[in-house]
Amino acid sequence: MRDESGKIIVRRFWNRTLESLLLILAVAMGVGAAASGLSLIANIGSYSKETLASPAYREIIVSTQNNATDMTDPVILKPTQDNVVLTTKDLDAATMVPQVAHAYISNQTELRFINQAEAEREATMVRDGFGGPPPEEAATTGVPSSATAATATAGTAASAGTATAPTAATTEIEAVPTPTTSGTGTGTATASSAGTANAGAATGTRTQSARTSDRPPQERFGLSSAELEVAVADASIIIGQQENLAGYRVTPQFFDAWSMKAGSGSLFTDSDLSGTQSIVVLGSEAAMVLAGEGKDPASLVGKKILARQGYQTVVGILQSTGKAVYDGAYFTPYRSGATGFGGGPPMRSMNTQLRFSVADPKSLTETAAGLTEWFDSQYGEGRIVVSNPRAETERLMARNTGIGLLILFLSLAGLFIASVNVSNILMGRGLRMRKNVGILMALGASRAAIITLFAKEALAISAAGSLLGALLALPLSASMRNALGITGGSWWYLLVGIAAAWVPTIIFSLMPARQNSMIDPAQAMRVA
Amino acid sequence: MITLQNVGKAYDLGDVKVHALKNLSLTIDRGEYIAVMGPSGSGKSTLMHILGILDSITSGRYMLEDYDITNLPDKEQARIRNKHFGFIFQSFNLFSELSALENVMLPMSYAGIAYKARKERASALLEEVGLTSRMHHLPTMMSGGEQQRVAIARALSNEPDLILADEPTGNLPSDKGEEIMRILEGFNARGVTIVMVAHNPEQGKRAKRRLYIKDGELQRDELNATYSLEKIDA
Repeated sequence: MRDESGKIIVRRFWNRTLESLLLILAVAMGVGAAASGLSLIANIGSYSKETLASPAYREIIVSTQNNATDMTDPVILKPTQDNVVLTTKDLDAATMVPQVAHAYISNQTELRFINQAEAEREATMVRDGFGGPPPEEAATTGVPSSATAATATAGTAASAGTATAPTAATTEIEAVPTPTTSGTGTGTATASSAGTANAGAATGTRTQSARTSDRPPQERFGLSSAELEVAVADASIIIGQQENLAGYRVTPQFFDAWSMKAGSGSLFTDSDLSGTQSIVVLGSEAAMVLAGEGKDPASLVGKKILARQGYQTVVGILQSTGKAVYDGAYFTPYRSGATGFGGGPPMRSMNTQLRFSVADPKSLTETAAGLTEWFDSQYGEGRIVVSNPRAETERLMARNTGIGLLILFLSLAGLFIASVNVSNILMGRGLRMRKNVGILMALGASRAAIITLFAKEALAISAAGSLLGALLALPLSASMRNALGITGGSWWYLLVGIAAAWVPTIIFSLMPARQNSMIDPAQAMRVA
Repeated sequence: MITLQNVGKAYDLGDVKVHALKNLSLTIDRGEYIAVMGPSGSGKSTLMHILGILDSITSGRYMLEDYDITNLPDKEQARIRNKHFGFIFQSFNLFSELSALENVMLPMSYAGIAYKARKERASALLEEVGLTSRMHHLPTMMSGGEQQRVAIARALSNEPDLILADEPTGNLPSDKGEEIMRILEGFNARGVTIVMVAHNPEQGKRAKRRLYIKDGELQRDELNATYSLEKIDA
């Protein structure tokens, strides 16, 4: 620094290290707290807006009592007197409630790939005596021993709380169409239903329960190593390199409700619900992964995915939705057991949740009332639960906003107190320099020069404090967001919060500078 | 150079109005060496502050080189103080955070003189007052006489028209006071105008002109017939 008057301030600053550091710390704490509070309230606002903008919060969920009370548990495990079963036919309720725009079912499921690694793993397990079918069963079905392993892949409990489904995902307890094995030429057309009642294996572990005598054997589509080699060589067959792929069993209006469009091929139609062919639509990311690096995902359309559930023909690939949970998934038609396969009788009892979405969220309450009336008339009063996830979420958001405002108020109060104290200390420093101010004016300093001199000191202190405050705000803000369950958010809010919190600090810091410049030099000289 | 016409200064203390200066008229020419004398509270310091435009006047006119500077804006007043006046105080008033050299450089920074140029000039001035070896010392490490010599160098840094010295030897022992008086008189001999408040009558007698102030009024304005530069040089 080559400015002598600036040197006076800098050296005075270091000569009073403790006082100077306390000033910086006071600014840091005030700015840190206020910036965190401001960014928190901004994050709550944007998170609420973003969350409620999701189609998941424009729908009413209809479920049976059992399915509604504890959606995270497999329904089959809950002893119940309830014999109400909801099927795709119940989606007809939409026609009775004019506010409903789309009615659909969306249940989580999973596709297990067959590939070399999986075949080797199973061969090892069978050799070690785990998971394989009883010898006689393997013999009678003609299915390679590896085929009956991995019993607990489907029908496992679906986890709740995904990003897009505010309520628990449904556990599917129904029969699914028998996958065909056409094109393999192996004669192992024994693929059977996935996800049968092996809900006891809630985490997908292999259990012995699948072999209990009161349940049908867990038959799976499988291939011998030689057959797998043939499949790998077939260009029309897709071999997934990963273990599995998350997906959804959906009815066609699901795509409309979530504004999903086919990028290649086509989506399902109502006729696919009653068909028997195993078809899938792939999310954009899932298609890219399956296609492999550098290959066009659109080339997958028409090909078949080799999976435990049998060959799954890819009929379409979705455009990107921007939602990882859907872009990375596959979709297969939801086929109600009520109709049976190939026109046959219903295979098993099933239950599900029905979703009715509306165009305008304001009509959700009215829609819920209309649906309640309809389902009460169909199944009896109180037997069906009609829930409005948006209402519950709005209550949660309102609570978060309240907490956020309280934190903001307290943090701004902290900032105000810190700023006033900083201002007072700077004023005190200025008063102690009163004599020096008079001398500086006698030597030729104008009032503007005096303001500039003290303003530099104030700005340096508030800048250093704000920088430290920003460092404090980073973990503090993250911790506040975590405490309130706010995900996502933007660092911009924190930056804006720091800038906004800095403004009052600057104003309060500059006030003493102006005050000091108003000192009458003659009076100051008398002091001198 | 400076003309005060019927200058008055009153302080309003609520119920009481104190007249520090009353209808004071005065002319100061270049090169003069003036001692302002009078008892405590007579208005000597007020006159010095008004001359240095550190204080405003409540009546009359203040002319500097034929310009009326009675009501100049703050920025212009600061410029005149910086360029035309040099101040020397009884208690030195050096900045303890700055070295002797930096103290002398300070007024030049307000005049917009470049760092190198002001450093060179400050060094030369300190050499002139005999402090070459002490220029990087802080004031706290210097004696009173040395500090006042730094203050003199500082007052001369922008080559002012007028040095205003308020009892410059008041805080010094007599030998050091004599030293300071000789330095000031030496600069006066080279053409620097000096107005000095002198509490000590002996010092007042050394000036070319003496102003006696009492109760805010100029009682006497007399030339020193016995003033001799040769005596000073001796």
